[in-house]
Amino acid sequence: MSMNWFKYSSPAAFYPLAGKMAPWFFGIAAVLAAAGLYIGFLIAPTDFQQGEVYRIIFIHVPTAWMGMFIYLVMAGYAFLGLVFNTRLSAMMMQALAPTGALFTALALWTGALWGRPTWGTYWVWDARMTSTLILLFLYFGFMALDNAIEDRRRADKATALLALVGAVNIPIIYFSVRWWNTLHQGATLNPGSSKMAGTMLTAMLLMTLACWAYAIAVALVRVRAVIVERERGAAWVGELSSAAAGPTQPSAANKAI
Amino acid sequence: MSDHSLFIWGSYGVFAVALVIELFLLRSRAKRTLQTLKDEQLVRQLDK
Repeated sequence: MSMNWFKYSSPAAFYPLAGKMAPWFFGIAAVLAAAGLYIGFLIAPTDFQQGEVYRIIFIHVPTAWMGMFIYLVMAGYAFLGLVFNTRLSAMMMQALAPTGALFTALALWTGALWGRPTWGTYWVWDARMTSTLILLFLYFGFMALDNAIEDRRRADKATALLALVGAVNIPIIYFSVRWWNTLHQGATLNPGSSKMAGTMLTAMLLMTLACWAYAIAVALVRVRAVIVERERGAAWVGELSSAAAGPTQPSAANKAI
Repeated sequence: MSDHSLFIWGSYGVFAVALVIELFLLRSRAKRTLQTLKDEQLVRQLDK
């Protein structure tokens, strides 16, 4: 049995699917976050070097990973949008960008609050931190460009190009701690040779999966709003609005008409 | 917890508040979109 995945590249087909999936991902995020916080605060031991402050890792690392990962997903959608000219790709980029920016800002904030007691400073212009700040500006630039161009097709192409070109920054962030001598410590996870205690690692991975599920849920809800805003003239949205209007009363704006 | 509690709770607090604000804004946007749909349909009905 084969499934026609291209069916869901149509906003009309994806809209109801996103509505059905979002609550599940919110639920998964809540359960994983509860488990991650429980293990992170009540089971994981105090670090022998950093004391309690290391517990910031349980949100700092997941937010930093999500900031990078969401940008890569946006670049993937940008590629699909430019090659296959799918409308949903641009909508998904629009839906993901604010959450990516939020996670990147949170990674910088939590990193600063971890850095002060650990390294003695909130901020230094080292490669890892500077390239992460550039990532935040790339997100801001993406959203500003999207809002600045009125012609939707042109806006979609321009933002897709920005997403693709900006993706060069992701490997720079990731490998910065290897390529340059930075104040920031090396990679938290080294496959096969992780130096973290098992419970610490479990808590961090659970929080990462929670952030992942949260980002998917938020993107699904936001893309539904984006779809309706952009497809207002389409017949299927007209049918949707008939269903939405139902037996309700006109809003204040309509009463004024 | 420790003398670093301000750094820990400052991180977790801002993290939680940021997500709550995002969810609130998302909910308002979804509601606004739905209301626009309803309004447009009612305007169409009134125009008939």
